[in-house]
Amino acid sequence: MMRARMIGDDLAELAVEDGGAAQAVADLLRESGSFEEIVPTMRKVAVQFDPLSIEAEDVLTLLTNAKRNAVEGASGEAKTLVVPVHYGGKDGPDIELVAASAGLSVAEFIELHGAREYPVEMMGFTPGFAYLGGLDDRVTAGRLETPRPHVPAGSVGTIKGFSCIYALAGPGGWPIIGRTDFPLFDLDKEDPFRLVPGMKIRFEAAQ
Amino acid sequence: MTLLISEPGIQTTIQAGARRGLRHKGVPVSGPADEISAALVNRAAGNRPDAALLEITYGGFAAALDGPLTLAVGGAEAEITVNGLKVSPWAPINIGRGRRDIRIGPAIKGARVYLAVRGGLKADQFLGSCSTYLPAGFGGYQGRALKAGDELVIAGTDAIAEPATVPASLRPFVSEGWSLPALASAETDWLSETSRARLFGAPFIAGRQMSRMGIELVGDDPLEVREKGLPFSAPVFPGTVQCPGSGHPFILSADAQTTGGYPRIAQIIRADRHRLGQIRPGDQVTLTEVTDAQARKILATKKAALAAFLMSK
Repeated sequence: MMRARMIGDDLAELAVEDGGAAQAVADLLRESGSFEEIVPTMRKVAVQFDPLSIEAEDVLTLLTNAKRNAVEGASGEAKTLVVPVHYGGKDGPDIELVAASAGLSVAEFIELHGAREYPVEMMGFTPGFAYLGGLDDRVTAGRLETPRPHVPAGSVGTIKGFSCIYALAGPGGWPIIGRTDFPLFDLDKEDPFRLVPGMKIRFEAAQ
Repeated sequence: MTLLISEPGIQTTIQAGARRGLRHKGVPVSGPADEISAALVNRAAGNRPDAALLEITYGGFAAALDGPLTLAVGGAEAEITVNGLKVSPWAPINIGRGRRDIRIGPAIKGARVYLAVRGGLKADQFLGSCSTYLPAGFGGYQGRALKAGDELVIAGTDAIAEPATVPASLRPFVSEGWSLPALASAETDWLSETSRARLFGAPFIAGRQMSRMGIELVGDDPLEVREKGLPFSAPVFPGTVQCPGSGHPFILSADAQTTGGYPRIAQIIRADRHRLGQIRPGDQVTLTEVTDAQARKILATKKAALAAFLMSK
């Protein structure tokens, strides 16, 4: 599917190459002011609109044009944030499980996790939940059998291929390896969510 | 001019306007699960359509009112009494000076009863809306469901018109059988031909798994989908019908998460999403496939009918 298409009477979706392209298309679409919601994910951008104020045909044209004209990296600088993490213990109840899935000790896993920069690929699922790509592929632990109804704000988790950070508390099924005190959410800011797609994150063990 | 909760019922929250435009940050819209009933109940009390009001799941609610005040109740079918005397839904209820007890019995049909107080309720605003989102604990009354002993204060800022009875023709119809107009969505073509025919036309039963996030549908046989999941999480919205590996589809509602990894096999039309808020476990649910043009017509008709009353002074 290369074209934009309708996925509901007030919803349309466009396929894109990756998270960076999705973000660029979403930024461009936001300028049009025609949409109630614009949601970029890693391979898709969906928009919600009022069918009584804009024609579906015009929406599809806007999406197709945005894909053609979007310039990646135009909006944000790709800066690196250093995020200190309290690994393990009650902050990271699943760290042993995650380390073992990579055949590592907890100390070795912490070193591995801090050795790379991870791009913020997308936000979503629950409020302020950030997906970070690029996790070492030796880490193979998948979802927990039973999701937790409440994961504290600041929690850091991993799942095959990804790390995640919770800016706000919420439910979740990813194994949790630690928690950060880094301010990820500030209601006094115009955009209260500190993490935006395109940023890079480097984790280090909190002292 | 307060409400002191004596029996909160199984889940009563403050809901107000939708939390719009933040799905790209993972923030659900929330707001009343049946936003049309909520808007009409607000209008009956003389409020703005999106004033903060109570959403009472399955009824079974009681509170002490400290008058004078005006309120209105509607949505799911339930008996309403003030000091033991029966009062009508969908119409203004005037409470004189002094203390009165309001009681809402168990919901007979439908799932959510709305109670609006003229002037609106005082509530925590978070990211542009007072609506409660329970999973992250924000908005409404300290971000949680109400408990016995909670005291709600009237904001007094949301009255915009004279209280008025909701015309019978506008009251959303609640029943035990639902026919929901829907459109095919992004991964509908992942269904086998038999499953597609079953999805649009065969009756499902609403399962026990029911919350503000969504409703599970149980059919005679699980649906067959080509793939168990999407390679990457994709956008989902209220009204999206997802099909997890179990083959039992799930309709997302007001508190729907923003992304999901299951095939999106249908989308309930915009005009009828509010009805999801009244479906309860055991109800029969049938999806009817409509065209884009039909969906738009239903929306335009409904919007016009409601606007005249909601905007009246």
